[in-house]
Amino acid sequence: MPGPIQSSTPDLTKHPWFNDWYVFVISHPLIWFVCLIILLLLILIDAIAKLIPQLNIIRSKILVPIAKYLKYDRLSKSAIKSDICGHVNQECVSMRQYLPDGWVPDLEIKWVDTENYNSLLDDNKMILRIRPIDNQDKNFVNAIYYYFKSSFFPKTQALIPKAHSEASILYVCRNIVAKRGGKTIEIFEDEILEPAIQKHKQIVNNLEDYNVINDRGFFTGTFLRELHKTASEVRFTSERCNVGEETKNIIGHIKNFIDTYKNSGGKMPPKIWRYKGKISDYAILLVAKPAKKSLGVNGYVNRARDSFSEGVKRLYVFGANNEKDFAVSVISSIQAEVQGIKLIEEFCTPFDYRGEKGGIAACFEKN
Amino acid sequence: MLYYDKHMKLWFNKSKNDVKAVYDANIVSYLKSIGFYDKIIRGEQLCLFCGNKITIENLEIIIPKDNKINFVCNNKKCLSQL
Repeated sequence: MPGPIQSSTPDLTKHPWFNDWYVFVISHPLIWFVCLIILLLLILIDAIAKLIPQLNIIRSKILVPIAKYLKYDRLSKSAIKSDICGHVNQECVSMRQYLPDGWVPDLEIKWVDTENYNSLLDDNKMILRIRPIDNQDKNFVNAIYYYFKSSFFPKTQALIPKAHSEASILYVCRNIVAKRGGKTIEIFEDEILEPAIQKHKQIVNNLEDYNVINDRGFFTGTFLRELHKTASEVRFTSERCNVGEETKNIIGHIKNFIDTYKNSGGKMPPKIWRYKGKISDYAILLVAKPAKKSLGVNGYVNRARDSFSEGVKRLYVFGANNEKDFAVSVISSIQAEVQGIKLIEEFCTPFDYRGEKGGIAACFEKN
Repeated sequence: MLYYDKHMKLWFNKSKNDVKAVYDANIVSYLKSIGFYDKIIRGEQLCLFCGNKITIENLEIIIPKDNKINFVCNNKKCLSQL
């Protein structure tokens, strides 16, 4: 009678090594419990880091020194990615409340080690070379610049004058880079900003203008939004060649509006509230002036209605920082009571129209 | 939509913008995979903007454009022309 079939593979559970380990695990349960908890925590942090940028920064602070010491490529790539994505996405969260919807998606570094020629052409995305971790400041500057270049003015970048599309990207990048500290700002100014200014002399003037209008919340609030909306409207018409002139006029109007507001002592000439150009046609409504607050929201709703009945395409409503609740009620009332318009977007501004930090705004459009 | 709802959305906007990157240590294998390594070694590939020879050391950006693959060197002026 043949005996039972013997398995050709040895039984690992009977191996003396396994036995020793098993005895060790059983006799030191605390060590293994702690190891297991640490492992689970690392997995959890890794998962949450994908959702919360601050955790990516913490991870990068742990990984960067280790990667610099060990010079291990895989660890370096992980450290570089965490550092860049963490810092950029942290700023993106705060920028998202100011910029138009969809302009600041989360940055994701996608490493490519090999690629097919045809798939590279089909993908049509530029490939950035990332230097070793010792050059991390330069890596950061390059990554953030190309990220904003591919995110700003989606589908309309070709229509916007280069000196403005470039200047607005540089303006936002510079603010973010300055917050990172270290040599980053120096590298950004020397390697990105200076050559860009040398190429387009107008950029330096535009940056000054953006500072002026940003201090009152109109850079992201009106300028970028109106420029993008205007360019989108005329993208497939012969009017697209007028976008350059219109850009100049819009920024001129906003600067004039701010000057008048500062110097008029509350009595603004009626014409200044509206800009009517060849393509763009918008009006501005400032709410929450303390003297008028007691009158309720009706005065603002009527002004919004009048603006649209006079033919305005878009209305930008701005609220002051310390009266946000009132501004919200004005925006809600306009949305509910004025017929034939729609609320495009409600957003925040880094400064309110009085120059104080934090404001609220909304953009309405004629149906 | 109210102001407060907007703030809730900031953290949950999970659309992504992928930036493709090749790590320094993988640049040779990457160039070989797209079939440009030999051309670059022979000095036949020129910078899209300044026309200087692209080398393994000075290569900074690869741009697929007009059904062609272009290379940009690390000259500051070239990078500002993107």
